[in-house]
Amino acid sequence: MQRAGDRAALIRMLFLLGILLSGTLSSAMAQRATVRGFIMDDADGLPLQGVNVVLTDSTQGEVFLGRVTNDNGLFVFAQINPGTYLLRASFVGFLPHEETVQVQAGQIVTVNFSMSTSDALLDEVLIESARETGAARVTAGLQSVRPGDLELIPSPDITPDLATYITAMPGVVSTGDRGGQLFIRGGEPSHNLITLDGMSVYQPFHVLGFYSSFSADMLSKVDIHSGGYDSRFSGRLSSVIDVRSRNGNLRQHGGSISLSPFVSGVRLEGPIARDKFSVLGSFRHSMIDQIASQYIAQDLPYKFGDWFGKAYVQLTEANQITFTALHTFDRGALTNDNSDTEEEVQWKNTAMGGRWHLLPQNSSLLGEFYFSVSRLEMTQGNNMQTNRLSEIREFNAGINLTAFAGPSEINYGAYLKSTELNVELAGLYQSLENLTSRIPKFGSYIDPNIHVTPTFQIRPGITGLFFDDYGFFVEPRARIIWSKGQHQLTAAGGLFHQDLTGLNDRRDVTNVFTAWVEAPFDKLTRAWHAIAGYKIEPTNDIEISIEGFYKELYDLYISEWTALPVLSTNLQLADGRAKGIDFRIELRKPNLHAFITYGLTFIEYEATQESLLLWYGTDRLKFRPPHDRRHQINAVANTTLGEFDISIRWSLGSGLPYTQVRGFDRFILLDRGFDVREVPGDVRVIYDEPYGGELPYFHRLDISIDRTFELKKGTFSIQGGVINVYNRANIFSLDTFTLDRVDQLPIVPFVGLKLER
Amino acid sequence: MKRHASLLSRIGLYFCAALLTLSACTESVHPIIGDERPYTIYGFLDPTTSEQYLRVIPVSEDFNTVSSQDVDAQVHTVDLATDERVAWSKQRILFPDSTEGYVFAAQFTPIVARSYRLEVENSEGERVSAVTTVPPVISINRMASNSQLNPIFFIEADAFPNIVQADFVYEAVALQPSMSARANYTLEIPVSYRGTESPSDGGWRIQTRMQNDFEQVKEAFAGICIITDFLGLRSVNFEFFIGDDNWVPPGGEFVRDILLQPGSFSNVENGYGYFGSGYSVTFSIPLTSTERGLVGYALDPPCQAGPGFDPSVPECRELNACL
Repeated sequence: MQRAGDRAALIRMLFLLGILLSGTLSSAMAQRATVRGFIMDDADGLPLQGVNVVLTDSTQGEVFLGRVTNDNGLFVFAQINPGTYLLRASFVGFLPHEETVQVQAGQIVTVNFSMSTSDALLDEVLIESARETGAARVTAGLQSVRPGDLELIPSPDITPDLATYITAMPGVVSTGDRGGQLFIRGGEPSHNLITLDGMSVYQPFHVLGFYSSFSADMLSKVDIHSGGYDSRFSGRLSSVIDVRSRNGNLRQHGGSISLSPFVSGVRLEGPIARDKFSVLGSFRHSMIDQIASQYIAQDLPYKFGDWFGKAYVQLTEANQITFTALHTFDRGALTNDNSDTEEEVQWKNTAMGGRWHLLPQNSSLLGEFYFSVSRLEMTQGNNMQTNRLSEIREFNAGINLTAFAGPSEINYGAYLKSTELNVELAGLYQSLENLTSRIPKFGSYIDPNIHVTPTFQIRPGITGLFFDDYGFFVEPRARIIWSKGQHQLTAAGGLFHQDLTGLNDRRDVTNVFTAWVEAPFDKLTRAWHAIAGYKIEPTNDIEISIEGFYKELYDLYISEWTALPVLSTNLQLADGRAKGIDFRIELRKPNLHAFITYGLTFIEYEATQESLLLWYGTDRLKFRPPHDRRHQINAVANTTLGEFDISIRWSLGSGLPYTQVRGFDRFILLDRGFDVREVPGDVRVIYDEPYGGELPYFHRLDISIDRTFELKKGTFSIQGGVINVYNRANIFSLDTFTLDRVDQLPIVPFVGLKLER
Repeated sequence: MKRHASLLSRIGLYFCAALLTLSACTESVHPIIGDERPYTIYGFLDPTTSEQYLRVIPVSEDFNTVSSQDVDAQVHTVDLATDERVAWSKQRILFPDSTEGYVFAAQFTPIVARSYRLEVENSEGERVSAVTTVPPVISINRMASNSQLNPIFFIEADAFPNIVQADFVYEAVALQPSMSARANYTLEIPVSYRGTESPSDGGWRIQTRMQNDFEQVKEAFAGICIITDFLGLRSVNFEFFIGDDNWVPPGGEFVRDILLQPGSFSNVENGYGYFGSGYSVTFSIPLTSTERGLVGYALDPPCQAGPGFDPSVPECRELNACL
């Protein structure tokens, strides 16, 4: 009955939404006119993002309206008065473009053109392209990253990777050099929604912490929402990492080959049909076993790699189709156990999908139609057998529409998603031995971006989610941006639900195996986010931002406490809250690009296990979860000395909480009389208060030096560097029973080579 | 230029010094912080015997040697009515699972209704103590009943005793056809009647039902994936344990996952575990073959395990295929 009511509410909401939009848009279009177009880069035929486009009233010469091209190179001036305008497009480093546009009432005029670079302005291109992103350029929890930004951070690979950049952000805690687990502003790894061109990628971070499935070679832009994200995204509790890959060059063939002691890779791209159809493909494979392990004083039994492919079809500028595919694999053991029965974790991601961007000739709606299939298979076992398996398959299809109304736009859309889960856990998880389930869900959203004044934007959104098993949920969201001169104030907030749960025993950091299941107690995990930030640019080359966040988390699934010296995977519900402040300062001098970030975070969970009253005298036990890194500093600098490009990163993190042990004894259940000479009892751990201890601080210095040589056709780059310059023994894991300690990487020198065209 | 070079070399020097300092400060971690409580104790005084035993486990900071390390302890009991003090002597025990431990023994018969204080002290003067009052020895009798299969037991006492355990314990065997006799699986399956007492004239009675218990016995075998088509019964005992008044777990039930937490069920001051008093009463229930058959147990399995195994017998073929 409730279910039927939910369905009816959903249908009513969609119906009203349709009427509202069609009515508003049709009446508006009859009176006014639209000028729009796509801007392409003349060098490769691909869309140019971030171009400033201005319409000037040709009679009065005043700047009338300004826009910036989006990811598809699209600009739209909707609902303008009929008349004659001068359209001017400018982008630092490119020759400006000007043309006169005449538009009549009810008419949609499309102006497509290409822009070409000017060698004299090439340096400015680099500066300007970086300035649309930046370490201190955070807007209500959203930070955008371009491939150029990744080059700032030293890493043992000549092709930078997204993973090293993300771990330099305040509020992001990682498991370190190995494990590939990220905790963003209080959330767990399974609370992060990670998408590549709209396809879910469940475990994209490789087993060695420097690497993800996203190398700079294949990236166009990454939006990292560390909370308060807009209504397009749903189904995850904590954060969104929205990765968009670049398209292959439509005009020239190119490629690269790189070699380093950790990873080597190949990239190929080029047109199949000039200006119409291009492909881009890359492949990377770890070289740790073959090279790095030979000179590092530590066992690194890891294998990983990924391949990526993308086809881009540009039927017209207003009609683009892309197909993307990604496959990743990882394998490794994270403990010091070298026996035959040592357990290792393996995981494989596979994702494929297509997108069709369409801007119809006589419509002011921009449409995006997409579908994707994703799969993650994760196993844990030893040479003899697989002991645990978790498999997730997802099919996703949907539509995103954008209607332009003056300077504002209304984004709305809907999707259908089906997720199939399969776990085989050999009885390790409470009543979750072997499970297969399918979760169909439907979601729709409306997300208007309203420019109330030229300096004030508000983005109130709402998402409706319908789960076949759980019913109907509404998630209100909002983002506000106020900018004036050098100041910017931002805020965001909203409600978020998550239907899938990633079960993992966080008491053992070496255990990255995650079992994806439906909410075990039929309760969806949910969270409220609130973010407020302030940014200032006191001079042209300094940017400072400060942002506070608060997340209230409900119905998290965590392991029950047990005094047995084994990992407990019995589950209990917990609530939690994460709050903190991030501080960022960025300096951009002609020969020095540097930033410092500081994150202050407080995370608290409240467990609700029934026996807590007996054990601790309270029915709700508050504790710091093991990813509560209180202080975090990252200092990054990049400069050029002669022909050499030098990058330095120093990072510091306060110690993570862990549960200390008072001692060990044995336990005998006194439910009967017994002969003490016959009953040995079970070994028991006498734990101190949960997570009351703190591991030592983490800190490390990494340096890399690059030099690029221009060749007749292409470039040759060489990179050298050192990870953990002062050989700090940063702890990765500690077995509190055996005192077996595994440290992060020791001092590691490296050299990398890359040939590129 | 010269000044510039000197400045650079000075910066380089400071940098190297800073690196050396940072690399030197590797921090060790001490996850085991020790416990002020020196011992965990398990044992009880039994008024029905003159031999008393007590397990003393030092709280260890070494996971690998827990309970096998020597116990530095002097153990005494004091009769609180007479102040009589008894010294206990230490014995090293090899348990059936090949682990080692230390047990203390004393020769005396505790007196009903008397309170005794246990004192365990180490050479550093750290002391652990517990007090227990010995429960009265009550009379439990099997009543005459129409049905041998559903015997009734009568507890005769002025006040209801603290029945820690009232289990029908079935020693059952699942006959698995095989060439080897080792394929017979024997389990001891307790079925609890604790809490089923009902008041009767001058006491309490417990009604048992063996036919109902048979399903639980089958489930116990099925739970470890043993075929239960041919279940035999070797013996049945009704086992009682009467404990002192404090021998009551929090919540009234003995839930292992809850009681596992150190200190959750303990009367030991400055230590862990439980020192109580109590005694066992056991009844053996003789059943004829016919009675066993009436309950549901197999009498003469058509497929004989062990040397008599004959795969040509249809039942044996069928079972063999399942194994």
